Amino acid sequence: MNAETELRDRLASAATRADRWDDDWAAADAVIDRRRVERRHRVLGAAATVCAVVLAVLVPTVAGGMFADSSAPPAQGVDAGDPWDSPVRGSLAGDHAFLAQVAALDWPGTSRPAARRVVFAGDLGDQRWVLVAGRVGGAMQGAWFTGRAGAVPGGLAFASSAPLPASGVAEGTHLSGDGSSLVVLARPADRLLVSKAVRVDADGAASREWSPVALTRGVARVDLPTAAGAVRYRVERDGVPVAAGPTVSADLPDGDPAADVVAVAAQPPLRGGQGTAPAAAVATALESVTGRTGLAVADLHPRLLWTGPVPSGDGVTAQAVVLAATLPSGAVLTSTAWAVPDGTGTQAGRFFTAARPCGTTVDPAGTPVDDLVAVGRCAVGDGLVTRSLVVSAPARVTQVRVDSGAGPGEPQPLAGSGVLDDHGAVTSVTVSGPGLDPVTAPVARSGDALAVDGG
Amino acid sequence: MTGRGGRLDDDGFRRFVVAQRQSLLRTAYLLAGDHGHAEDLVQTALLKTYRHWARVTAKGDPTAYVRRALVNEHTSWRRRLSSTEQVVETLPDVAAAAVPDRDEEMVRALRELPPRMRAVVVLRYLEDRSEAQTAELLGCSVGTVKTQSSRAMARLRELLTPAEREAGRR
Repeated sequence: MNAETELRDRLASAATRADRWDDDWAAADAVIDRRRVERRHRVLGAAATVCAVVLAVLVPTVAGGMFADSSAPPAQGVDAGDPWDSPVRGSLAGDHAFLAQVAALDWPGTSRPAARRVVFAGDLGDQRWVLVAGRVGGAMQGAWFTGRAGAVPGGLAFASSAPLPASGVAEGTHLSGDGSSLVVLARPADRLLVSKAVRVDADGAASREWSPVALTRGVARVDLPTAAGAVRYRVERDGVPVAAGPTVSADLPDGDPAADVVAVAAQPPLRGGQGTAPAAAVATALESVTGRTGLAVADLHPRLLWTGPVPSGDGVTAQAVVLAATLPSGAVLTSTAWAVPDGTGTQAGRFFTAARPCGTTVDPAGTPVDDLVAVGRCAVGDGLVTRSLVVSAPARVTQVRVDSGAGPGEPQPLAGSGVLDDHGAVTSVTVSGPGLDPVTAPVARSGDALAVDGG
Repeated sequence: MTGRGGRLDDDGFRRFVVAQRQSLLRTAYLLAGDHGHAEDLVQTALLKTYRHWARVTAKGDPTAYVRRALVNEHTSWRRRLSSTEQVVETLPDVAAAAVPDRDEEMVRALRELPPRMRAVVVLRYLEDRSEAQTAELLGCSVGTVKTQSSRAMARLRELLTPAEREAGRR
């Protein structure tokens, strides 16, 4: 593979990091709403100009030059300047000695500004939160430090850092096995909405419920459940979304696979396969579901459908798994993922990504697991990626046709489940067999079935 | 845009956004280097497209228009940020962050490139656009695209760890 091909693969792989931003309908509506606001302002601006002209003509005449001084302050309500260049907020805003010390706190990474200011410092519940900001190469960068309420500067620990957007909305996350929390710093008149998780109804429809959370002087702390990664928030200003998140993963760092994950990996695959299901792949497939729904593994009743090798562009051995999970509503989710067998990310002395999801699909309540047909799209490898379709179907299936939008192609043999080459344009596959009506299943993208209304 | 025609336009725009936004976000992410700015870039490009939606769609497929708006917004945004075009920023860091993976290395390497050179790389090698198409989108000559592309490849060779050098990275 030449350098250009490798670059194409690496760019394509890196670009998939953007896939969490998938609230397309809301984004379209936000643009339409923004345009309406622009039109209203233009109309109001024109009206204001007319009024100003009339007043300019009439007032000197009527008031005899009483308003001749033109040094009036600029109009209010117009965004101008740096949204982060404002007085310190929070209960410790007046403690100058404290502020001076926290402004000097160090944080990891290369995004440490030389000149800093404290944006927020205060206690929120039983935690102390501090946001320090400064410019790095022209962009505003912020770092959150947290500790127990009342902690001195030396008792605060770095929590997270991220660029501070022009919206003037910042988020801080405190991740802990004892209880994680999220702080949103917005403008006092903004509206904060929080969704705890994706809900999947019995018919397979996935959605999020959004609840308003009160902002106190523009600040709110939200306690995160154990499955913190399922939580989403959005901030609205004048009815228009201006920020959404979390932009920093709210999942705790990976540790050893949990016992329930290991137990699923040890199940005999209902549809057979080849090799042993890696716990890392099972954990990744389960996380695709728990990370959106907020459910625990025990709530999903997961069953291992199939496991088998998938080709990798890196020449390493990767193993895919297909799981079926039954949600409390009865809807059945199928989740596919791959991993290297030992789950460590090392093989033959090389380091590479250990595991990745291949997508989820959902079927309505009552669908027998034995009849499920699911197709995951796996991009396997690190620098050099090979794309495959992992098809899981009942054992009586004997052939498969792939459809790239122009109708099903030529039939290929398939013994129930297996792996097909993916040319990137396949949108669905149709499986069939003796005495079996053809069944067409869509090809999942990563997070497809549960990527709704804010991710 | 009012009344029934406006609603039809809105529906068409919504369908366009749903069809294009994922791809736009991927491009914007590699251009901007972080999720927040990528989303801002895409929303701004979509707003610019929507402002002229009737005129843009009357001329045919609005895809090229929104792509051009995205790239122009990226390069002008970068100019606003820094007169030197050497913007330094990082991905969101988290406590106890994992070892940077190859995707992160790719994003960081792109951020080391000047904005227009970065745009050439993304358009040529992510979106598979020809040199002529890339030149049209960037408003420059094909020769400039060739030069920028060549320099970018050389720079990226220095910045990226090739697969065969991955041994012992941990």
